[in-house]
Amino acid sequence: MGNFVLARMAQSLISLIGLVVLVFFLVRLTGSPADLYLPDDASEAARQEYIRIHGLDRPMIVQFWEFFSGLFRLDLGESLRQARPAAQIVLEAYPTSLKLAGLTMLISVIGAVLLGVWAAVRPTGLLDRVISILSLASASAPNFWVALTLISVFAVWLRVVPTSGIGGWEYWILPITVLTLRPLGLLAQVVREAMIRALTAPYVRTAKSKGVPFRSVLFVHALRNASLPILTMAGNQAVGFINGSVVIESIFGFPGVGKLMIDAIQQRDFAVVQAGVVITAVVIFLMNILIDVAYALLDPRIRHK
Amino acid sequence: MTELNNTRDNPPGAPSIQAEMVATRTRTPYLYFLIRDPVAVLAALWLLFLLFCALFGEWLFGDLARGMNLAARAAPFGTTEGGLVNILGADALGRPILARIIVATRVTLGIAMASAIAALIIGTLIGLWAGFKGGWTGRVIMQLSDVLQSFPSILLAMVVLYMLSPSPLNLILVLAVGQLPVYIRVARAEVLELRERLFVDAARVIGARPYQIIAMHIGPMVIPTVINIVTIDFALIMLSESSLSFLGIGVQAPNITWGLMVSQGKDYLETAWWMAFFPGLMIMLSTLSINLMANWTRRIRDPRERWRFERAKQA
Repeated sequence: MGNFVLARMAQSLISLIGLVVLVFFLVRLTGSPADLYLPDDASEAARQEYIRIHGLDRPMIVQFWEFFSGLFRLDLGESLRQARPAAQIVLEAYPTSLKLAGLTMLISVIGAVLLGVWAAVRPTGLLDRVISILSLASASAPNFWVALTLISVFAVWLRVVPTSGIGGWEYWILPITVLTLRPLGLLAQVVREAMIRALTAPYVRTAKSKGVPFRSVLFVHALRNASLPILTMAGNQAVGFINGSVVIESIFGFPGVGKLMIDAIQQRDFAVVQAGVVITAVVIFLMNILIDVAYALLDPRIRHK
Repeated sequence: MTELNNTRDNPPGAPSIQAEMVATRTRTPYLYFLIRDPVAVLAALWLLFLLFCALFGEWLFGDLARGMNLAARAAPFGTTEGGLVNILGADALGRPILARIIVATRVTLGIAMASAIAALIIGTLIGLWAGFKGGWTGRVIMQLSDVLQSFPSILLAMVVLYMLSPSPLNLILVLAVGQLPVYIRVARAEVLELRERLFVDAARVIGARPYQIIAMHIGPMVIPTVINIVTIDFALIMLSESSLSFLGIGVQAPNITWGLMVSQGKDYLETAWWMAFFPGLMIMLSTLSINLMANWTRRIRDPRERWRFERAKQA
């Protein structure tokens, strides 16, 4: 188990370095920050001065080395826009996004297990068909459109929740609802599929003939065995969470990491983009380890290998 | 059939199990199951409708969708003033939403289809190569594909589209690159299994070159798997394209896509909800139909689920 995690860590480290190189050069191709941060009529001398102060005139490879060696000192550079450490800005945005992600995943997994198990009890029955179509629909809906629709109904028309911003719990309802839809729909399908497979296994018949109540057969015997594919999909969704949160956080004006990244890219705030990517990669890396450990906990075959 | 009847396991004259299976298969074509499933029929009809819009929409409604009509500015949903084409309302420049939705079908589906096909071809080729070569090359390719996969694809697309202009071609490439890892992974996994098979050894022994083995012996076995993935991928790419267009870095006016229409309508949420609502509904109905059809084909082909359809037929 220890070796397994170590090997995974080594592999992820290589990926992380590749990612850092990629992002460093990609963001620099978006153009010079001097065009964005100085007024249009700034003199050429002022532009040169700006570029010199921020070290943007040095050879690319020198800039890269400075950034790369900074990584080992946990120094991710300074934001051009806010003139403070980029890592600090990103870390301040992270709790909001993680809370959003955590609540979303929690609701999706619980909802998906209930719906999926319910549908799997009688495959191709009426309930199964309804749940299948609803879960497909919720996975197919473009989340920005759902967000706009919910805003117009509940915030603009009924005025029961605020349109955007952050504050008390009422600000979290709409973003979480929107972000839950896709993982919930995808997971419900996976749960259904895995449960149908698990329910045809001989041990289910054995349990039933021994007189185990059907509810325990479902949620104890079958669900445990169906949990691996569910974990895979939940893990994928959790890891890919930032994709959905970029758009949703912008629509709801949520000060999370998705909104921070989209703003930073638009403002050519290189250090913040890089810090965001590096820290996100580390978060994804930690999540992957958690998922691997969860696999081992759920499946004794993996644990004893 | 007679050949099958004379297999060793069966006495001559008795119908063999194989023959029975072949017969059931030929007796119940997919169309038969399709007609019995109303949801699948609706999805198929919707996709046919989209195909029609993509082919003839521009020709039928092209002028209406682009020409300004100040008299009909922000005409509300349900109005028949100025013709039935205004039934879904009009946008801020008086252009009928219905006409614009229909005209947008071509670009929306075209971009998604082009990226899906590009990702399918490029990803599968890379995956085939990585799996066949194995060793060091294979590992480097997989490592790169992991990098690509762990990076949030929407951020990658944003960086690239800010860097290059958001032209349709760049958009197609960016969307395709984001989907490459899926195909690389799947194609490689299949090859790793296939290249140990006897027929590949046989081909190698009679002197086939690596590219011949890939193209003629391994490739055809991998194609069904990746084709299965591409249908679901198509819906996913459509969603990504609409997100990017919604953020303003995807398709640009005067081109029209559904995602762009939602984006154009979002500033009028309080006064004219129909501008953003209907294009978004189109995205959802279309991705839903594609997913429904993909799901249906998968279930009907999967022997573990197919018998349920067969039994339902007999009942």
